[in-house]
Amino acid sequence: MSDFKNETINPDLQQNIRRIKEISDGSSDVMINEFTLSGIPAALLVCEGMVATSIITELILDPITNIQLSNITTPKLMDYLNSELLLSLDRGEAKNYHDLFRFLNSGFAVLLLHGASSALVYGVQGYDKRSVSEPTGESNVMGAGDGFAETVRMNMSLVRRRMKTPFLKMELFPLGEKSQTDICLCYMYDRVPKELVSEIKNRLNSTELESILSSGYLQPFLENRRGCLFDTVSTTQRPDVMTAKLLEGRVGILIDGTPFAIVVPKLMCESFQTMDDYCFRPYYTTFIRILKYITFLIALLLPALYVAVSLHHPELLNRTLLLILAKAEENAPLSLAVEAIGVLLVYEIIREAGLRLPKAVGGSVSIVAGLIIGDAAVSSGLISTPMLTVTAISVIGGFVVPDLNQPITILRIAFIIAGGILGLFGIGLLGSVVIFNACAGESFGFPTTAPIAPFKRRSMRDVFTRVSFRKMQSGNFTVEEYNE
Amino acid sequence: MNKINCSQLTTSLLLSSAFMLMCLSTPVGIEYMAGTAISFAIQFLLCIPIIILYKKGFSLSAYCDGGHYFIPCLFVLYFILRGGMSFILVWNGSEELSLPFSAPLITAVLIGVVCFYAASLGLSAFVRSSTIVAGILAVTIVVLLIGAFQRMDTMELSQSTDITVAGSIIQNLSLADTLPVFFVLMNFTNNNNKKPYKSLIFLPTGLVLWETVLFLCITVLGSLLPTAKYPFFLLTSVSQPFSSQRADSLYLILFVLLCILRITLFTVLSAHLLGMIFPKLKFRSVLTLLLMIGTAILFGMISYTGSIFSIISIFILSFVIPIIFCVQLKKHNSWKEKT
Amino acid sequence: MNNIIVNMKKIISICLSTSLLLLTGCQNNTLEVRDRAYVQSALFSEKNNITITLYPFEGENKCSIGRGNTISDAVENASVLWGKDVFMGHIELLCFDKSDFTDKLESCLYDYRISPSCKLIFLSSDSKISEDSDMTLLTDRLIMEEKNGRIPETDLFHILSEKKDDDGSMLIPAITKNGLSMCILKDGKSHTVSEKSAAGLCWLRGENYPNRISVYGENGAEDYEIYSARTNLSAEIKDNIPHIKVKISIKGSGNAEAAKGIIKSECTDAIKDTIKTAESDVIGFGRCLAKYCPEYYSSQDFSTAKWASVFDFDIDFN
Repeated sequence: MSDFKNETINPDLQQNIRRIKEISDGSSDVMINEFTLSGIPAALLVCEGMVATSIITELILDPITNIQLSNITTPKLMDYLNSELLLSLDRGEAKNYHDLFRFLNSGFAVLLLHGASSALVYGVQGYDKRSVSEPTGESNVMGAGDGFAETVRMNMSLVRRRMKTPFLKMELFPLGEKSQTDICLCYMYDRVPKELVSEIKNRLNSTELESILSSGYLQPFLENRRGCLFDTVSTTQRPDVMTAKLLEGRVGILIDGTPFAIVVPKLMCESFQTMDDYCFRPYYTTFIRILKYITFLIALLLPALYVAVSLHHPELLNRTLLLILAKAEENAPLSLAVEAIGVLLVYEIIREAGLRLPKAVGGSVSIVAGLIIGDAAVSSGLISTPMLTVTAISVIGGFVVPDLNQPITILRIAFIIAGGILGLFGIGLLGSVVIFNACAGESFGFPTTAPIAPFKRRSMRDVFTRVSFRKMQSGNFTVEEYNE
Repeated sequence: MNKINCSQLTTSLLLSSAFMLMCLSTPVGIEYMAGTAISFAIQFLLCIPIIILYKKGFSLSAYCDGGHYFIPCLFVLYFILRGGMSFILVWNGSEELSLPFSAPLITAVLIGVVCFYAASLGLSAFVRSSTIVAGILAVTIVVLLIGAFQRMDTMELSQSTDITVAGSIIQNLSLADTLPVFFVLMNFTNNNNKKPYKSLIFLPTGLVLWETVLFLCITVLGSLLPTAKYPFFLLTSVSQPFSSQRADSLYLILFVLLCILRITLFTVLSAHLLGMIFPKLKFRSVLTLLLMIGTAILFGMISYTGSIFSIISIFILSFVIPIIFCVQLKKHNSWKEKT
Repeated sequence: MNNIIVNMKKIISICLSTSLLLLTGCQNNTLEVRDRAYVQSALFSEKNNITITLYPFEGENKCSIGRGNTISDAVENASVLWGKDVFMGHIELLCFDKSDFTDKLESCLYDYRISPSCKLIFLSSDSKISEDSDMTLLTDRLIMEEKNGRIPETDLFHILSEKKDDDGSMLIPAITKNGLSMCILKDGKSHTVSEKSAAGLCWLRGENYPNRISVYGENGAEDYEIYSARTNLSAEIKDNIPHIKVKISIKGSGNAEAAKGIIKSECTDAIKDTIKTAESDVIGFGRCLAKYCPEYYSSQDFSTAKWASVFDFDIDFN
């Protein structure tokens, strides 16, 4: 099939229809309804399943079949349809086949008139979609209950409902050579750094993806450096979170077909913040925040420190604890480091199995893993109880900061290896690598470790602590403050 | 290369100085504390030409662009030598620490590899990391204070020692290798023309850190001090934040972090200056690190300490050279005004 | 250039991984937790050569005896008996019967990573610790005696510091035929102090105090409860003689006058026993002089000079 991207619409209706059939290769869902409109041959094209029958009947079929104009020519009819009739709120014109198919496959009704070199399109989308529901990945107690769904326009409305200011700009454009996915760029144009928007647009336009089926397709194009352990692009399922971030001068990207919005730039400290933090009392939030930072360190380092200290620096361990540990390890067949890695790997296997299996079976996996394998491994002496306790605390700690779960999982094992071989010296070495790696992370010129490194004292009010809104309201904070 | 701010410059230099403090291997006493204070005052005076120079709009990069390579070469040489000396400090220090292996070359290679990685990420990553490590250092000092508090005895301050204030000043000045680093780092700061004197905050901060640790060493270790090879390490072994177990191994993490930061700082700056001198030269960081390790092996073999050389080089690089630049700049400006 | 850097990074990562793997496989001498024997206390005795008796923590093996020319030698031999490497970092109590052993205390702190808060006990010639002795009980008894203010608080760090002082005398808990007491070790000689002097040393050194004192008043024996106490030493030179003032401030309830008498008597005994009889400054008068009268202190050689100070007592009760 020849390239139709820049091929303009043929004024001859029959040739036009032939060409459309040729391009779509007679696809069953492309419905072509030919009729005459005040004596001019016309055709209404829809994609089956993408339009609402009642809407198309009421808004388009009824009004246009009733048009009875005398001495009419195609240009006059086009003009009449455009200026006299308001058939749909979402109207447009397709000049070429590329646009025609994009509209058609997005749920628009396409009206072709004989003699017209363009097609009129009317938004009558009515495809089945998931309704707004609570986000599964970012549960909270007191925040809003609605989460993004798969439809980009619905997601746009969820954000718009929360931010009625005209300064919120939403730019919708297609991306992906084949999928022609609708991408919506959202930002507060009075707050966002202009270079950030243009750089994001450049990056998105430079992608040569055939399809964009999830946020993960675009993320690598928005990241600055390869080899960064921590994400420099954040995703959210919550419109309230995205709105809050837009207010801070960030850019949000909504992708049709995925309930996750991308937000750039990302700061690592955001991983420790939730919408609930802004609902609870500041002193409680401060406590929870500090707890989260400590838990992050526990999740990352506890098994490694346990292994390193037990093997290389036992004088650091509490005497009683050391004796309990020595007794528990008396009959263990494996070395402490191997045992720790083994327990973590088994956990990862169980987690992955539980995640991919149907919910009903997933439950039984947990039972088998928790009760049978865990209990049997301990009672057979394969794994010691202190080791199991330490790894369990570490794994649970990882859930407190779910955003960082991926780096935590990998680094936890790496730290165990380093600690097992080189003790605290190894942990220090790897720790340096991780610190340097995290500090080198930049998202469009914004250091991901800001406002801790580089240190911004003013921003500390919402990092380790959370001051009251009385103090925060006067801030007018935008992320531009962190740009280096 | 990105610009760095005043606090980042302070933390970078402070941490470099903190590593020297950790590896301090001379007996200390109240006279040493006095000597340290005076030496910091002297360092402050030595910095004045640097401040004036940058206030007048001096740029080392522009100077190199003008085809002048001798002075940058001197700095590169100095940084490589100091990097090598840092490796020696690590080897010597690791004898006191409970490392799981005793081969110094493995320690050097592992640290070298990490430093190479850190240096490859650039100065921005380095200065940001230094902020985080400064936080870790602060927490460590607090833990050290808590542990040392029980054993602190201010009566020990009155114990006489064989140390002289003059000797302490000389000893302390030989460790002041942050001054040449300060001169080069000032090239990357973003407030040179506004308030360059703000960058000097690293000296009072460093003084507070040194004096705090020295105070702890004297009051806690007391009569054990004269026999201590490394006062800081002995202090960590007797300061017990926990009831019975000793916690000195914990400080190993800080030791590694500081050591990596210090060597990375020398590597980054050397590699950057080498880049200015030889723009086509590749693998500058690796080359610098290899030269540092080579220097360390050489110095280790001949048991070189070089404190007099150190003082002279610090004086030349951080005082004489800035003054020469100041004079040149003045001449250049007056010539410009005339024409 | 970018490709070169990426390749370089790969090479470095491979080198790092290989070196780590080599370390694990070939050079890894890591001892597992179960491969170590954890020592609770150790007894050092020197007859012909060094004999070390290692006592494990409760529930572990029986004690192990090793002999050798050096401590390491003896420890190595003792470890053979257990069939495990010995870990001494958690030793709670070190006992020794020859004062020369104090020369090896530094090595204990540095080489064997023994905690500076480890307790030390000197065995006088008329006492003995057998292989079956309950060393945990002995440690607990020592701690309780210190807690009750009957003997001054000491540990490895304290004793090492005293050893390095100008005076060089060390105050160490000792087991005598009468039970736990304190002794002074100086220049290879030991001097056991009385029970009363030991209690007085607690007041003078000001590190641990008793919780109560039994006094005799009008109603017979009663308790003077001590809530808190603080000792302050100061000095001045009068007629070329140092006058050291000991000020003890006590907060408590009961018969203060009677308590004052007892404390004063204990302190006098302690000074008599240590400064006068044993000619050892284990109270810290030397440091006090160095602080308040530095010129006088530097003009005297306190390692050999006999103490001829005049002492004033001032005991305050609130």
